Amino acid sequence: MKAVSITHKPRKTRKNGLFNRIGGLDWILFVILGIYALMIIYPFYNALLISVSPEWVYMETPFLIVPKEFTFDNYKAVFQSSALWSGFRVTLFLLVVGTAYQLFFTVITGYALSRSNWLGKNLVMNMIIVTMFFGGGLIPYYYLIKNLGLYNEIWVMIIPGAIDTYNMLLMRNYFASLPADMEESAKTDGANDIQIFFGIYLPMSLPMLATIGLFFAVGNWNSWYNAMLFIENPKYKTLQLVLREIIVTSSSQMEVPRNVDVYSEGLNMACIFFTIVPMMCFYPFLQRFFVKGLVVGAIKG
Amino acid sequence: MKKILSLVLCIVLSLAAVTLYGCKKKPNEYTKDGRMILKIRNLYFNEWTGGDAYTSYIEDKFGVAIEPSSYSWADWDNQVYGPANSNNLSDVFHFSLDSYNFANSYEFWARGGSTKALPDDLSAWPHIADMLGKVSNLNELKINGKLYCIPLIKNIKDADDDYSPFTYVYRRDWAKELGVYQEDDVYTWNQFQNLLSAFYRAKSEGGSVAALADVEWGFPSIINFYKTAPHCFAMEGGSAVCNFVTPQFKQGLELAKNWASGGTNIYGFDQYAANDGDVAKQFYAGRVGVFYENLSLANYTTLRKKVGERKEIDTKEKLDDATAIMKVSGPDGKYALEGGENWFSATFFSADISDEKLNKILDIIDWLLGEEGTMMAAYGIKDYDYTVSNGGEVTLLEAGWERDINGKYIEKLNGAKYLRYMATLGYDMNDYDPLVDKEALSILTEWKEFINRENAQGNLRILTEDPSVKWLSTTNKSQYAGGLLENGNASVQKYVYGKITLGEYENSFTTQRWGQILGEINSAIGK
Repeated sequence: MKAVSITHKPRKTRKNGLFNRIGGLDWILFVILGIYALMIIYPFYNALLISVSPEWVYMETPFLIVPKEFTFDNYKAVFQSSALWSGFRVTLFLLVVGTAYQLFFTVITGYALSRSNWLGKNLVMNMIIVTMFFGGGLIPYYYLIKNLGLYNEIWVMIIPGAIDTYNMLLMRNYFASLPADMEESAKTDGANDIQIFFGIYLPMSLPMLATIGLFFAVGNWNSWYNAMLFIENPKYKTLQLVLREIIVTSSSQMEVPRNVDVYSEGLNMACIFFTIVPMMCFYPFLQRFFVKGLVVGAIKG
Repeated sequence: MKKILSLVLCIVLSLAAVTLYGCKKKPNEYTKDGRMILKIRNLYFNEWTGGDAYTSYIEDKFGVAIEPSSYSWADWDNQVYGPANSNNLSDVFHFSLDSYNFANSYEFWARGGSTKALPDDLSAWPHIADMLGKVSNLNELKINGKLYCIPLIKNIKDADDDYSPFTYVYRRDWAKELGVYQEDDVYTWNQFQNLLSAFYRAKSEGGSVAALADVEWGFPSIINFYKTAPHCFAMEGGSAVCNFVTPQFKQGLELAKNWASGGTNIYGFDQYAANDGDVAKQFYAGRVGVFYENLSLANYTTLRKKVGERKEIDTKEKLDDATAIMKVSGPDGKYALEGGENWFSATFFSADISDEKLNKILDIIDWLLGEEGTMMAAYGIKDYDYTVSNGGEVTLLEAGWERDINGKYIEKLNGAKYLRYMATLGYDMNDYDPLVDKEALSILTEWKEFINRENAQGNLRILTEDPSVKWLSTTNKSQYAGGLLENGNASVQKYVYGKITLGEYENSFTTQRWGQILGEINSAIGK
């Protein structure tokens, strides 16, 4: 009985306290934050409504609050678009292969640079860091890609981004923040560097791996620039590039008579949802790692 | 532990293989079965990737393997300049050549050896030679007597038109309803203003409908009835002057200001804040009475389709009334249109291709411009897609031409049609292309005939820039003229919407850069 009364009392107090603690200023903050939240959410909501509305509804009311009439024609057109599906396949490939590739190289580089016992470490470190601040420019980069034989190859969207300096530094700092005693203990037990890395450090780095993995995944999902510059073959165009072309073409004035319908706003919005929904579904499952990983990587400079 | 080590080794080896795979050798010039590979990149290929029966027919006929790829409208410049500056151009490529980028693209590439000139003797390709003979300002494009591109002529059959179809489309139904309609849609300057005032009074309540609105890059259209030159440079007494501050231009500017922010509110739509395509959407939605638009067939077809989707526009007559083309003469009693080339953009050839390859490409283009190629581009393969009677009448066959539920022909990917975009925009096929909206075409043709009649009677003012100034390459003009035009148009908009004073407006055209460029032009033309 005592236990019941103990659990009951705080609940009542907490409830009363909650409302007691909400003052006039809080309500003002609620309103301001509510408006702010609406400003962020409404464009998505409006885009969703436009994507399921016929064109005449959008023409009459570009800013919709409630749907006037439903149509799924835009989504039908999206799902029938071979270019979008082709882009989806390419982006999926980048998401899986590119993310694994970037993660692997970034993590092993971060680990190697977090160890203090090898010659030339600072030189390598500085050579990588300098790429954060200075680039060769577009034309030398173009030459490099061309001479590597990567032009018009799907690998042009994967190989040049093998190591992301910022994420590598995060990883390096995280490894450096782990107790060095563990490495010494493992070596005492006869483990070599690879065993230590894969058996001890990597399992301890899951939050960081999830974080930078998410960075890479989002980056690969949104990837279009390299494809725009270096890809001619339509079958290697990424989803975002296809989307960009659809949106831009629909608002451009091509001189040539086009016998297919020009894409409407509704189609654009349906395309946008087609591209963002997979990432929106994926993101919440990694969010807890994401927040934690950001914090742990920042402990040591 | 051994398993982990094996796994690591596998990953490393796989990644190394992936990396090395990327480092391929130079691509082959011929396929294994001996066909010459042609890499062709063109803006208009965006819906076509090859592989269709028509492309195969051409490939077999000419013993080539065509690898098409497209540019994107938004990234055209980047996608051309990058490869051009790193010697990585496709065999055949397409670029939006105009007088503003002429020096930095065409001339730069030709003199720098990035692009290949056409042969001097084109007798082996009579259709190409014939077409080039119709290209406006062709001599301005030649460097040391050589031509380094094929301009995409708009209409081979009717190449004499040297004006852009920027004009007014309007709600004839509103005009009739308000009693301001003029027969045959012909309006004098006063009648035009009366109509706008009537539209404003009857339709603009609450500011939701604009009596007049212009396509974003054509605003303010009414200056066309006053100014003497289309863009930056006007000629006065044989010398080049800044067009934006000529008395004629400023007269039109003051009227535009009055209509936009001076109280009359004729321009009810905020053109200053409009994004590309906004005004067209307003017209489709019935919120604009008179719309100044680039009425190419493609745009006019789209406009009619969009307006026709509105519930109340449920008959052809209503659609025609809601999308009528207006013929407006200015204060001087003359119609005014902006002049332009009879071509848009150009096809270039990489300097890296052999003479044999260039000849092969020219063979294909020449065939496509001939009767057989044109028929194939329009209809398809004879006796499969179409037949021709003894009297020359074409009948489309069901095997090749499917129809939708409304009975309209469904477009099919026809490589011949796309490859023809290497030389022409193909307006010559509009009359018989089964996919063209014939009602839109008929209205545009009628308007064009009217304009040509007025032109013949001296009632048309075509705003053109002197070719010797337009295509002139000088140090500063080549580099900064595009920026001058952009800034000039921005100043016009700012003044019209009251963001700057007249003094500030005028000062923006007396900068050192303007002085340098006008000096260069006048020096070059001997003034």
